[in-house]
Amino acid sequence: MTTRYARSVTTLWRSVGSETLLTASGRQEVDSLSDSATAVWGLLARPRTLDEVVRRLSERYGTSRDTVERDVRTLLDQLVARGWVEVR
Amino acid sequence: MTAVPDRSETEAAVTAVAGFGLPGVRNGPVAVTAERWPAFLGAVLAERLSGLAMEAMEADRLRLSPPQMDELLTGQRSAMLRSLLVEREMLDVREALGDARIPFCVLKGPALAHTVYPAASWRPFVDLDLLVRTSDWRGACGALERLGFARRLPEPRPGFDERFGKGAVFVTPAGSEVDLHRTLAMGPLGLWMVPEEILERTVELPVGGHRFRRPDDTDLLLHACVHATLGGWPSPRLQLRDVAQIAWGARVDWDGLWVRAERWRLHAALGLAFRTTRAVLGVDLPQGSERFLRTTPTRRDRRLLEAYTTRRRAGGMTLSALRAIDGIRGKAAYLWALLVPRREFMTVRSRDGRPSYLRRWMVPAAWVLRRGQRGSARR
Repeated sequence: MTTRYARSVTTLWRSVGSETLLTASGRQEVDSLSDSATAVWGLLARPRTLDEVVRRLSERYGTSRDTVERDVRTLLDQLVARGWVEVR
Repeated sequence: MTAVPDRSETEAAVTAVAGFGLPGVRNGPVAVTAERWPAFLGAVLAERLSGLAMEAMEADRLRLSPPQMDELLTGQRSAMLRSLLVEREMLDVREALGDARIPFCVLKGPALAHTVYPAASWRPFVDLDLLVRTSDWRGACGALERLGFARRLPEPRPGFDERFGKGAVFVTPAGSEVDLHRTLAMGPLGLWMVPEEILERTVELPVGGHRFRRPDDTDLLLHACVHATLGGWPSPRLQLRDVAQIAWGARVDWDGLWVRAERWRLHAALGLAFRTTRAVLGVDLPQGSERFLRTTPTRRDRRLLEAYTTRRRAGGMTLSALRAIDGIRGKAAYLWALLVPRREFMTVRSRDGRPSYLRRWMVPAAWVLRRGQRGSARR
């Protein structure tokens, strides 16, 4: 089965310029995503595979897929660990 | 000598931001000079227009220098942080009211930001507005107090809220604020409404993985109009923007709106809201609003609206509310509560911490004197 990533429905968020602010019920902190992470967040408006995210970002930024994949994988792992993104 | 910035130009620039992207807006791109910038930014932030300003900037309708962009971004970031904290609070309040088995619906800020605006970041909000049934009023107040909220202003007299009040503001020491409503307006128009009907027509509002309720699109517009005209005068630009945004962006049942307005004597208020929105923001409004715009208010309607607008600070609303209260006993109870409220109420209301009934009675005395003087002048 293909792993897909999507924004968690419990995440409360706002885009501010190229930054994204994230929080949720019961959490005291507000996390902040920088511009490249915000681009990933934008793509996760609907469930996507790692491969889809990597392909779109490498097209957008003209960067090699290998470089993008390494960064995106790390970011997604962090977002999942923080509860902002869920795996489906 | 320093040149005084032209206030009207600043106001025009802020108004252009408030109307950004709406049908009919014809102004060209707006630039803000360094002299006008502090006043412009101050107004944009105070009136919660930073989201619209950001969108206008990105669409090149608001041309800013890099330092101005940075300042606007900082302001919008603060506004969004505040909105997120309100939403987080909303989830806790939901649990507290749910535990008390009190149905409620979310009004204004979150109900608009997540529905009629293209993105929630367009519409900042600083507090949470909730509507509950009058029969649930005490229960809702208790649930908020158990959650750590305290009422900002005590009830003037026991039972005042349910009989004559619009609602109450609850705050926490950390600065969170919930405006609990049992009707949508103060004074006579609030008393003539049947807000329970709004609660029966609510639709889903998903936020943070939970299903809230909000007024249906038609009631959303009705409330925005009421808020724009009866909530404070002159109407804040964000309230007028809400009116236009809902009118264009929601699925409004215009015939249904007419019927609801007719039953609650709100035709003139809605007509005024549409006229003011069109005049101030310079926008077009959908065809459905024409019926309201064409309606000429009767003399009675005009006097009623004046009680909320030009005569608001001259006792207009209090006197009009008296007409809406049934029976001599009801009217007497209303006046008694306003003239002789409880000591706790007086203490909070007094600016210097020294409550004085005499000072309180001077206010209606001044109204009567002014009316007498006006009468003499006319004669």
